[in-house]
Amino acid sequence: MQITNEQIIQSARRQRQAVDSRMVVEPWKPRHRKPYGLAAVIAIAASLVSFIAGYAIHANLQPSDVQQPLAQVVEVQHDTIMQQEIIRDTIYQTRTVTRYVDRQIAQADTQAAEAETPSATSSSQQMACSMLCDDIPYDLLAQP
Amino acid sequence: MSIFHLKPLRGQTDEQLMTRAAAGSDTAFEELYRRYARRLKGFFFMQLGGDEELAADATHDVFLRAYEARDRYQEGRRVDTWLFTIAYNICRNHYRSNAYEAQLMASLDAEPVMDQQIEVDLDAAMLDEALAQVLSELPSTLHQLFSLHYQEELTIPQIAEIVGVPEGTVKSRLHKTMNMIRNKLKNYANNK
Repeated sequence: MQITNEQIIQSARRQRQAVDSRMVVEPWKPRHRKPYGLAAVIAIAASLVSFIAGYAIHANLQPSDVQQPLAQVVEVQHDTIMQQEIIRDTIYQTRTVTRYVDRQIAQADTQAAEAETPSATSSSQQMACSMLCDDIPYDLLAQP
Repeated sequence: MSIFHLKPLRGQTDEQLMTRAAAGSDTAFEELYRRYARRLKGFFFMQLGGDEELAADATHDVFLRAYEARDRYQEGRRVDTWLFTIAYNICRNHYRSNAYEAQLMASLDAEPVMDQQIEVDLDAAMLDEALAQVLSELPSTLHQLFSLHYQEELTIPQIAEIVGVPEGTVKSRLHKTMNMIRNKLKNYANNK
């Protein structure tokens, strides 16, 4: 049987209609691309937070080669003076006695010195007196 | 407000709906989607090797592009031509054989249009099966041209606008495509 152009066209249209009847179409969702943008923003933010957190953990895990501040390791005692004395109880036995002496305020010595020579106050004594007014411990003043 | 804003959406033309969509009406765009989604999906299904998932993605891509460009819609332009132009470009991008196709089209256009009578002796019952195979073997550009005109029933001026060639070129290509199909059908019949 001879096939005409019109038969070819009709056959093509039948195929097209058969395909159309099989096609299932989903409802229109215009915002499909938006979640990709949102996901990208979330991913960037998450990676930034992870980087900062990781950096902080890394820094804490490193052994510290920085010298600690002096104030944390040195205990300065201004208030007491410690004296240690070895006392022999027997020939074979000795013991060490530690005494804590209250701070001696130089004012007492100054008063004694004043008592000795009340009228003759040297310039060095005046300086010491001035320093004592600032409540400086006696043992520091005693050093040359 | 123009008069068509008062009419129900289903009673409006495609161009009226698109104008409303361009003004920000999502429901007008949904109505356009309802009218054309199935048709475009069928077009892609036939052009992209019968892959329904790929056809669905391509259809969605067409409407997404149209939705994003809706405010640039030129009032009065035919909506079906616009949507099929997007669809045609998606097909071209899919095949990525533009260089080969361009060469093929150049040589095809250089050939004179022959008014040859190719007799095809084929059982009518076998025609659908034979034509499906022949169309799948056609170069994609010719397949799209044939499909746009004979299956989607777009006019020659519309196809010329979609493809971006003069109307005369569309006519001669369609004529040569039909001759090619008849030759292939003849070969199909001879091999059976």
